[in-house]
Amino acid sequence: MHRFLDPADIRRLKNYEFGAKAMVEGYLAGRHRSHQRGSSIEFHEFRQYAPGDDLARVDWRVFARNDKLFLRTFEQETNLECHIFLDCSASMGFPENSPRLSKLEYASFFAAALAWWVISKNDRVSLTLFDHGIRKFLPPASTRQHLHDLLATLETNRPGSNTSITETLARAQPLLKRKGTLVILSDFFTEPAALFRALNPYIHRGFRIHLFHLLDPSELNLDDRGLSRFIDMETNDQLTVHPHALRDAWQQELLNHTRALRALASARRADYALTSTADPYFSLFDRLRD
Amino acid sequence: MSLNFLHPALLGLLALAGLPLLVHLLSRARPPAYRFSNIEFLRRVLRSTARIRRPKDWLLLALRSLALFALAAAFSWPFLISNSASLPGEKSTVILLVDRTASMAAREGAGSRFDSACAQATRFLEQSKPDNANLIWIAAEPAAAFPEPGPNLEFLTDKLKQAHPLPEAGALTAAFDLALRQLAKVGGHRELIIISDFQASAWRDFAPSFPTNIVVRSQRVATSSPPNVAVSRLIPQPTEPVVGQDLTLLTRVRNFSADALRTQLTLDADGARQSQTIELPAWGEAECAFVIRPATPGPMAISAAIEPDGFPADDARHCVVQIRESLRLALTTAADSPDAKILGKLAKSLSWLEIANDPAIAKRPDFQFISAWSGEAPAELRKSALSGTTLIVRPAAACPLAAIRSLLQVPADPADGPLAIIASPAGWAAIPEESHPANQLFRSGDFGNPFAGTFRERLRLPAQLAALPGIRPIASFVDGVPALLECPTEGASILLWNLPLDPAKTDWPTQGAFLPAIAEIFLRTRPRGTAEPAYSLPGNSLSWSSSDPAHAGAVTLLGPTSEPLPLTETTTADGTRWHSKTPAIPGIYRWQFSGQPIAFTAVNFPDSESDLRPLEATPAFGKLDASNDSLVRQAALAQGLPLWPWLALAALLFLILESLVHSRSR
Repeated sequence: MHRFLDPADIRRLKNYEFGAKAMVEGYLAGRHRSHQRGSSIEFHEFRQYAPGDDLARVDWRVFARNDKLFLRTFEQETNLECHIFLDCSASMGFPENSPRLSKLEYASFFAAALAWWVISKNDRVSLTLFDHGIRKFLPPASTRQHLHDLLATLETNRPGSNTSITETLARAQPLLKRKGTLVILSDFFTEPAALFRALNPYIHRGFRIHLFHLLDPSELNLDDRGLSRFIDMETNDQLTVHPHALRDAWQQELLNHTRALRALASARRADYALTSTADPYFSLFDRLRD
Repeated sequence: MSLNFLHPALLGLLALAGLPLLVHLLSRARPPAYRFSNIEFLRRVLRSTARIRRPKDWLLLALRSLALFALAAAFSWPFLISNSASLPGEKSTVILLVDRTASMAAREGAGSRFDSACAQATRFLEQSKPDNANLIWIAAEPAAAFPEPGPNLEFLTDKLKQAHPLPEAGALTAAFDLALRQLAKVGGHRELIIISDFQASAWRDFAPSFPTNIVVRSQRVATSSPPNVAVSRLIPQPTEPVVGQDLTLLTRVRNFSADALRTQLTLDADGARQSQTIELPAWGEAECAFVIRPATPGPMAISAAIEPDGFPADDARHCVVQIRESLRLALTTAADSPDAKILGKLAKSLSWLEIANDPAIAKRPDFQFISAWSGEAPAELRKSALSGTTLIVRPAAACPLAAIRSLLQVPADPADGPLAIIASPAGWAAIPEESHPANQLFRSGDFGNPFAGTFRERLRLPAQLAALPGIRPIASFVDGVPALLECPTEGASILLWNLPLDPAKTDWPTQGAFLPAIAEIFLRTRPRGTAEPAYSLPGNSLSWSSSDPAHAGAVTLLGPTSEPLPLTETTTADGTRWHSKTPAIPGIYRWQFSGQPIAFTAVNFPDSESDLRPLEATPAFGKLDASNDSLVRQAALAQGLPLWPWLALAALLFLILESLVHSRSR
């Protein structure tokens, strides 16, 4: 039994399936539709012939009726390929010494469930652990052994150093051969514009992107702890403040930050969700299913 | 002014003010550590809110510190006390020198300056509660409430309540002397409080000196300069007219305000009234003349008054003019001389001229004819002219010309020799100088030549004498030799007479123009007078004396409103003398005998009191305590002004503010 894979979750996830919109490219034909034109049985559309097109794909019946060259295109069914990016920076270790799950633990639970769920559908899943760079990359696979390796990797994973999600995304690009679904689990303490600049190549390649923003309730509300010396978990910088005095401003700043992320995600047809680690992560599966 | 503490031992509590700062610093020094996901993000939030939050922190800190400071300071019972306050256990003596002069009656606002002065003095006494005090009025005759400073403050406050300003000028030096004399007799802490309007005309040049150990405070009660119009002069010309002679009354009115004014001036001469409208420029004056012709001899009371204004005390002026029945001519010549005989006949012909044979009257005649003056004592003669007797001097042949020059006070000439008499059977004719007022009547020619006739003898006077400055020729002989010269002096004129009156030497006395010519010369050369007749000042006691035994015990005095006034009667070597018991006020006072007025006394408002402008600043008299603070405040400071209520209030205010700021920051 693995730490981050709860049998209760597996029972619940058995009924989950990627929805009609989960159209990603895979190497196995059958379960999932792809916009990649090719040979399959489901008709996609007619398209006017253009020089260079394969003449074999011309619909001669249409030509006979209209004396015009039209190509008959079909949707290609493929298997799902899901790429999980898990932020393992030190900040994901928050909160420390708390009965609540840390953000990394929460993300690990979700990643484990997601991997099991993808593999259970005979789809492929990859895992990228990153902090200031890629700490671990498990290439896409759909075998039980791959799931076992992935869960073992999650169990041994510990919060690392500072975060550089943009660096990670830039380096991971050549590792992902085929487009698929990109699920990034992070606390996103980074500039939204820089993040989406790093995501642009993926978006252009046709990746379906899910940004799951994980924050602890203490981060969302900035609990009043009295005058405290805040120590940065990534840089060990210190700042003595009265959280009470900053609470409103913090919430407003957080709201602005999430609004910026949401606005940029919406503009680039990416999915963005802010989740408290106090809430069940099944809502995130709902977003994937849709 | 200094700050003192009743409980200085509790000043250590002031250290409490540093408590919030200490708490603040300590609490900042060791706050609990808290590992947080992202400080950079938090720092960004901190930067964006620093401008709002930091001042609140510091404001809270400052408010808490100030509240504790004010509270701690209140417990130490601080009080402000004047540096000039008396030491504990030291006896304090205060003399209030309150101005009661006429200018203090000027109204400013609801009350007069004097009301304000009395109110301030009363409040000062009630506030300062000195061990001994006295009240000295600044008046014409300064008076003290007590012979020496006493503890009965109620008596002084009663005096202040009952007092009113007097229509008189103040004897500042006398008042200050009296106050300093009284203070010199007492020990301990001594204060002199001067409350006045500090009228500029009275106080500008007054610079008293004080002993160094006397605290002097001054309080000005005048804040503005109320507009005022005053009748400042009433001058009769001539000062002692004879019955039937025109009496000109020159009246001067002054405007003590910044606005031009028009007012009605009314002259009342023994019930006969005349009025004129006068225009007064701003801060200027106007003069107008009334002419009356007295019909009866004796004293005549004359008043000139304007329409009442805001300061009515100086709206009228009074004078008493003695109307003469005749002018007196004294002769310094032998009784049987031709000159004496001619002048004797002349006096019989002129009802208003009499030869003063009575030696007592001859001591101060209106005219003195000196025949055959030998040149002796010219200075004495000139003194006589200066005292108001017109001298008619006919030099003798042996009189040196230098003596004449000395008498007339014209430059001497070394070429001058003794005079000599020149005779001529054919004689010389004399020509009048038309510009001289004595010849004015004859200017038309209707009355002929005033010097008609032939003069067969004359003195050899140099012709250039008539051309000297200060000499006015009345007549000259045809060859230019002076016949009659007038030399006006500050008193009366000196006439140099070179016209023989002896019928053997001239036929002038037989001419028809002789009588009017002589009469005109006498009337036009008598002193006209440019000064006001003597009058009394308010505040003084009036007196009158008589050598008539019938008057003893029968003289009464009636005041300006015809009310009888109490008198004291004393017998002197010259007769009886009466003194009024009450101080005089402006107006005409009548001395009566058997119900008939026998004399008048004019009492006029003092000129110096009409200009109500105060000094620009309260005089310090070289002392440091002439502050602008009110006397009451100074008295409170002298007693010690406790500050703890203010500090407690401030502490409360700071705490309320702190809670407000704190609640807003939450």
